[in-house]
Amino acid sequence: MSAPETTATDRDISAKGAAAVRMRGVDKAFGPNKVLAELDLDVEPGERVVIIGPSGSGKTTILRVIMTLERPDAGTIQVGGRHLYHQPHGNGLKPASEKHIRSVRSDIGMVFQHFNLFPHMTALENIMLAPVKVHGKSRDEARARGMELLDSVGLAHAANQTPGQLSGGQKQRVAIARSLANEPRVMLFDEVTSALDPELVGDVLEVLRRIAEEGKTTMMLVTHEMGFAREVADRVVMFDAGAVVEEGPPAQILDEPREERTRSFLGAVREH
Amino acid sequence: MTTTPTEASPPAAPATSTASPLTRVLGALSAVGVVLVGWLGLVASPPDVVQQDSVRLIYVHVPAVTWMYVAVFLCAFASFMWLRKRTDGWDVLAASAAEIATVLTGLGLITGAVWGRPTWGVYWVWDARLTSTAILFVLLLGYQALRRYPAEPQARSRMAAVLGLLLALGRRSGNRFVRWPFVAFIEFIRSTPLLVQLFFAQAYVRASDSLTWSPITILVVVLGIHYATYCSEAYRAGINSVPPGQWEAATALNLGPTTKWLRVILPQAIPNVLPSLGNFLVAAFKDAPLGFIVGVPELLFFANTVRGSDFRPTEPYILAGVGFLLVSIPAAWAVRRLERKIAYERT
Repeated sequence: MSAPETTATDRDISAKGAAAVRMRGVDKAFGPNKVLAELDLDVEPGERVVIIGPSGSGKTTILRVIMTLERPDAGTIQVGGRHLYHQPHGNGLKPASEKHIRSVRSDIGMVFQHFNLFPHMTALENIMLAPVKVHGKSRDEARARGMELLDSVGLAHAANQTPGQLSGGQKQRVAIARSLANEPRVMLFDEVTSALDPELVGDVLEVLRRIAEEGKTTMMLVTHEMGFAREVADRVVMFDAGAVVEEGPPAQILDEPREERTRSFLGAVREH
Repeated sequence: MTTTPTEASPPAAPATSTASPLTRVLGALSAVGVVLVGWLGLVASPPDVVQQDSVRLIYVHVPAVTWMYVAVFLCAFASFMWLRKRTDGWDVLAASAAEIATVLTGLGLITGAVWGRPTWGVYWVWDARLTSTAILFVLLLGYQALRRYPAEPQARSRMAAVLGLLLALGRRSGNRFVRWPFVAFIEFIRSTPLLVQLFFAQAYVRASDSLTWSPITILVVVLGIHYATYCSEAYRAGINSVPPGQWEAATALNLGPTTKWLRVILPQAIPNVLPSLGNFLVAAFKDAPLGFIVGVPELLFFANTVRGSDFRPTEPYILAGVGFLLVSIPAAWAVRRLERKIAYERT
């Protein structure tokens, strides 16, 4: 549909100092339930932002509106300087065409709590699908890159296994590799360790740590792993009832929170 | 489209129309031509000796239908080229051609009906050409609906249905004026006995002067429609059974609609649908003897004939039963094998 990959000029334009993600006045309600209320949020290129907050606070919805899985009711979102849901029109903006959304979306990737691997394909096929079908890479090229990625998440041996034959932690590592194969500038991680058995969490966090160390990818993570947040995050955002409660460096938010709501949330998390 | 970059230098918007200065001039010329020719045909030309004034409709009807075929062919060709080349131009061309084809098909159907009344004495006959044109019109409307689907979860189901069956498309349409007739039709067909439908079709064909269907045609059409309504529901259920996470992963990987449907959704939906489709296949086969009552010479008919001539009541029927088993058991077995072959390890 869109030309394979956004053109080089697109990428150059958006690379110049624009925020990786800029949300302005984003509203989202499900029925009478207001999940995001005039949310403003900026994420700098290469920044690693961890979003914490009680369940039902809307933190997952932040990721979902950026991934276009939910459409916001109001407000604007820019990714790499380009409007996601709008197109320039005269001196203002108009709602974006599907094609425009698809073009901007190529900068975004997401890893899900429940992996969402395609069960009828092998691990390698899962990873190769988008590079071949979306980016027009040759199968050989995609396979080579896919094997590289599988190797980097420690699963080269599982290339020809289907998701049904893999453990939860392995599935999640394949899912991360699949998302990386698209080379997104912004990666969204939605509670990626919450569905895993405790002993499998470590391997997945290790992979995330490696992506963070490379520093190329902007990361937004929703997680309950506070230790991991402290270690990896540049900034922690405490989110509740559709709005940012407070934000700052991990040490400040996790150790000396100013807000009562943050304190009680952290207290509740630590007890478990 | 004019794009005046406002902030953060957004890229030029991709082409969404086939317009260029040349086509604008051509368009203006065509508009003038249409008015001129319309005036010549509808006002200036003399009435026909036999058809009188209604002949004028022919001047609209025939070109409309001719160009409808050209537009439909162009749309098909452009769609094919888009699938091969993936350049936006082909997609836009297909969309534009389909829009023109939709208008012309509607125009052709209406003018044809209005012209048919004074000339043939009827507005409409269900002959092959008219019926297929009507179906084409519905398909084109479906195509338009499809092109405008918003990429939201509800819309998937709408998309989904098309791939199964046209009926399922209307069934899931977000527009209730489109959906309602389909729902009513599907529910009506599914909720009335096949036997009654056969009798009705037979009576209708007998009473109609224009419809000259043979008994076997009646049987095939009635059985076909009857089971198509069941199949459309099976497809719908199969597509709905693909978990939401799969759709979301397809979006997150930025897969296009073709890849999403052909590589992700249908490979998971079809194994779910297969058992039902297999059942329908066998059931439709077993219903074939109903053709007996509308005079189709099928197996039961022969058994009856043999009984009449040989005066042996049981043997011919037993043989007929064996004949059915000889086909339906391998068919059921083949479907089961297919299911097993297509099944995959679920997560």
